[in-house]
Amino acid sequence: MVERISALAGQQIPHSFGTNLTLSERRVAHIWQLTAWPDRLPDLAKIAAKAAGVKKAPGPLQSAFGTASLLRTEPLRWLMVSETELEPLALGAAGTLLDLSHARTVIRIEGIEMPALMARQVPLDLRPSAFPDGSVATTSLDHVAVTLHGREGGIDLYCMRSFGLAVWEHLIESAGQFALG
Amino acid sequence: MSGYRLPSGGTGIDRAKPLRFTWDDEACFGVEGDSLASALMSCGKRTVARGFKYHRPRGIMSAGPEESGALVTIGAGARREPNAKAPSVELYQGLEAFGQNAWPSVRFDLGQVNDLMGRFFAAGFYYKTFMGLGRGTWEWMQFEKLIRRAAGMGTASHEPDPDAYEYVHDFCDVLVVGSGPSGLAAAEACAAKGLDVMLVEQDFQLGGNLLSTAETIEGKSPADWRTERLEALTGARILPRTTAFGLYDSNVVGLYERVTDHLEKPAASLPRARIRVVRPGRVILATGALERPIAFGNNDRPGVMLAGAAQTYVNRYAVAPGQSAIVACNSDSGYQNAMALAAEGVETTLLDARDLVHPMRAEAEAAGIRVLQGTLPVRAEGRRHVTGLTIGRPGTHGHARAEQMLETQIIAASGGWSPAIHLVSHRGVKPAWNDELCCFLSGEPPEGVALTGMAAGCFATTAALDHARATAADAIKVLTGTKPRSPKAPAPAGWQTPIEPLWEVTLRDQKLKSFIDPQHDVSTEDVRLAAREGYASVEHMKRYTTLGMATDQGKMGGVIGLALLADALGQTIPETGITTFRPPYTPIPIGALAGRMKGHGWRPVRRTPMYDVHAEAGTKFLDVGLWKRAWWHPAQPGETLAKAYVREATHVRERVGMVDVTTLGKIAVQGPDAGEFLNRVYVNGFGKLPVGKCRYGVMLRDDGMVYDDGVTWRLGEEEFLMTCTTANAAGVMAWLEELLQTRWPDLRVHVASTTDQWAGVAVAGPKAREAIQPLISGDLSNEAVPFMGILQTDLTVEGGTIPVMVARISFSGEQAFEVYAPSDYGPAMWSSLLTGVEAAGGSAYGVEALGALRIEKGHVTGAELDGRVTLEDAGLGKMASSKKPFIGNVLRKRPDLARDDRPQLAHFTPVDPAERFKIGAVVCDPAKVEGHGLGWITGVTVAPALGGKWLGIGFVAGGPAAWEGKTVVIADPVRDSEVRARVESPHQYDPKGGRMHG
Repeated sequence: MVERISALAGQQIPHSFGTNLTLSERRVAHIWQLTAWPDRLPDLAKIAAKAAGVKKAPGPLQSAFGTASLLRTEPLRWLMVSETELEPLALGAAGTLLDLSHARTVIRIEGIEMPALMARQVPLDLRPSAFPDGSVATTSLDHVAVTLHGREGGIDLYCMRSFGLAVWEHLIESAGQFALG
Repeated sequence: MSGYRLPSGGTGIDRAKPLRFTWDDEACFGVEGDSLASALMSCGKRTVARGFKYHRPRGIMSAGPEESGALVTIGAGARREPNAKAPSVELYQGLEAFGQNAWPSVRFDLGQVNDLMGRFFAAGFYYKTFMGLGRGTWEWMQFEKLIRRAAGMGTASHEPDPDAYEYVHDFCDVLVVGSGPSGLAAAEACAAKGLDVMLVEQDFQLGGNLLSTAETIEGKSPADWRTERLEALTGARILPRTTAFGLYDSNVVGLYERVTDHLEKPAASLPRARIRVVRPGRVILATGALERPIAFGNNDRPGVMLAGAAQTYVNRYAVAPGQSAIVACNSDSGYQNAMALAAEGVETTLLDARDLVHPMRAEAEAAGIRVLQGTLPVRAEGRRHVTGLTIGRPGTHGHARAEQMLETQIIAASGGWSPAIHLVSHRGVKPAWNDELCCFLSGEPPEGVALTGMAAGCFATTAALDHARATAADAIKVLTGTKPRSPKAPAPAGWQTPIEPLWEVTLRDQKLKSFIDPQHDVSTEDVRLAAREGYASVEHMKRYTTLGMATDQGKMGGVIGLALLADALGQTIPETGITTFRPPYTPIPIGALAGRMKGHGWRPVRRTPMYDVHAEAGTKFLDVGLWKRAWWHPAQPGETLAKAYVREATHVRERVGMVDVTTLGKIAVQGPDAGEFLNRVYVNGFGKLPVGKCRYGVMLRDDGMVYDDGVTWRLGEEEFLMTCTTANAAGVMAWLEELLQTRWPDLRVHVASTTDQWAGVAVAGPKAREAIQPLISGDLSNEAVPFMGILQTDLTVEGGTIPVMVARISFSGEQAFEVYAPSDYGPAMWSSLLTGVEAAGGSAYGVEALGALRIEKGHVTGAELDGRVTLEDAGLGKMASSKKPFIGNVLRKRPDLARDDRPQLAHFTPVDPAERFKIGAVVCDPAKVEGHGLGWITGVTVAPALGGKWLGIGFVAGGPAAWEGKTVVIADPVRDSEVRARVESPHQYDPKGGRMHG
């Protein structure tokens, strides 16, 4: 088995700043982008929900967790994210599937200082009360387009792989102040 | 005697913690909790600054950001910062502070000679000078230099700002601005209802007036009352050292938070300051009120200060400004100020401009204060600092009648209070003049914003607290749907006895030098001069006199100025109006506005998956847009670019080389109509491209000019992989999206960037197949993978195999294979292929060699396709299909675009092989070497495959055919060069393509 080399290879991972903030990388096996034709959105939603093992495909800015995570990133689009191998998925005439498994770096940000760190990066309210688990948002961080996913009390930050290390370095630099206690 | 530290007291200082600092390199001492102003005062420093124009000595005038006298320079080296207001600078161990705008020092400044020529520097001085006689002459130009040199105050560092800054985006239910009694009461009420509260305070200590008042509040001492409120705010975010500098649409509030300015050795990970952009549910402005000075003679002398400030120095900092003081006032507040000074042993006289028997008079006299009712300050005495005050009484025609001179070290003046309504003014709210309170009050604030306390015109503490709690109740009702019991908000009021307007004290028979804006040396006479010269609008008067245009933005003298203008024009203050306050409330460093958006924060670095492998091998990188691309791969340390790229290109021509092409834009085009979509986008046909094949395509803009080019692969019936240039990747993607969403929404096509999904390597050279076939499980023979064929197969790498796509594409003109692997396998792919390439005698090559190879071959890139070029200009006219419509097909046929003499692609070679020309040079007819010439050079290289000659690619009118047998001059006027050159076909190297197809 050939090892997949992450964009963050060689970095100190996880990287903790005090006891209340930790940055790490979430390694996933698959990131599939499912895009529906406008008139076949319900059909694709059913296919996506079944493939991800969830009752219902999530609505805009939401996600659902099953055997895979399903993130609604755009009106006609979901990301299906899995840490394990996925069965081939046929969408038929409902839409298209695009494999982006190697196209994204997923940075995990955890700890009660997460909202404070992210307040320094994006103009979104990421306090737990406003961005609970399951929430999804797309915004810009350090001039890089990112998707944010609230999961297990933290944030999964998806960015393009080529920017992965730059975003990581930016976050690490900004997070240094939280190590001061 | 000058200022001194009192033996006891001081609500804001810790005497047990002495701090050493320097003033003009002289060692001085203060204590923790001091401001620079209080520390300087305690050290007996009276003259700490010099005026802008007249260089008159200036002392400490206030205890806050309205300071107009004590402007100093703090820090040294790259951190030197001029015009800091000493009362707002928090003292810390090792602070370096300097006087400014003076030579040799603020104590003795030769520039004070300007004071003798004051009549020449009156309002409008600049306008009159620059429009006057003699302008444009040599003498005038020298004079202008002198003026420019004299302008400005202090000197900022010329070094780059060494500090970091950052932006923070905050959200809360209620933002309370100001931590005085009203702010604390409002914040406490909101927090008690479970609201998410942010409380910000511009000072480095919380409490506002609570730090300087001796008045009991709700039966408690100010300190105890403050402590109780703060304890109740446990869950709130409380930010001292944070100024609300602007109020914007949707009630977004800009905060400037000073993080490390007060630290001797701040941690490297801390930013110096933060800009906080707050989006609160409600905004409560408890910003207090600013005390106004009084314009009397020499009211800028060191020793003249605001009366409230004198009380602050005594009570908060335990510093007496002097042994004796005269408090001059026109309202009740002067009595409290005088009582505070007297309580600490300062010999105090109180001048009340109002001729009334004040209810506090007996109490004041009992405290040892001499009270003079109906008495005015006329002129401060003393040349370098205050030694006395001539006082008088109201006389005829509005002038005072001077009566006697009283000796004093301090003149503490209070001309009334102006609520700090600047933030609502930022939202366009017009202030309204209140005759009773003698101040401007805010008009109706924007929805979601409320003013409270003194900012709302409630000057008595009890009324201010009632108002704050009522304001908080309104916010709670809106945010929670419940309204707590609260007192009714009282109306603006609060003085025990009516305040009487007192703007200026004049003498009938003598002109006094009375300042209203000490920072810009604007005097009362300047305002009258402006009125006489026709500047009747307050906005015009402001610009003509520069009143309120210094760093305090008119906090000290703005209202006096317009009151005097009203008087000069014979109209009321409401008729005269007020200038508009604009952000920022107090100055903000430019660096803070940039935040982290500098260096890599401004241009994030984009790396290919093979970046680390390249870096470990010593590869040199070139910034191409945001990408770090391998520029050249030194064969040994120190190999220069010039040698390396020729070596690398030679390897490709003679054996084999490989280059990282990951940065090419890659776009997935999917759906049943994908072929039709590409047919419309590209000039050539793609609808019938077989699966497993790829094709070079060119796309035009609507205007018929070439936009981009690249190879598109057909991976399935409904799936294409488009590649485009690195530079245009994002633009092409956006263009395709726009077409699908606006022109052809009926097409079932999805597009998405897959640039980051694939790592790409091009292996090129006559031994390319030999080099990589052993590593590829599929057959790479010409029969199995012909030119423009695609193979989906596996590549053997260390540890196993990885899936790859291989396509026969050549940018170099040699036999070549582009190999794409999923990005995380990129490093493994590179290492594996490199072993094969090196075994075949080849090497890796970078973008410099890539450029050399493509110039030799005559292939175009973004350098040629710059938006001015047609298909025919680039030699690609034959690609255009005549059987289908495509974008740009109509307008490309405009007559002017079909002219034979348009600049066309060509090669250029110097007639003298020893000569060279550069990119950007202009191609000219030898008989007319001028202007834009007949063409231009877009690329140059040493051409190993063409005998090592210097070769250029570019455009010339008519193309090579028009210049056969003739030469051109390649002129480079910027770099002073002219080279005679031959024009040749761009297809000199392997014109029939036999090497590519082999």
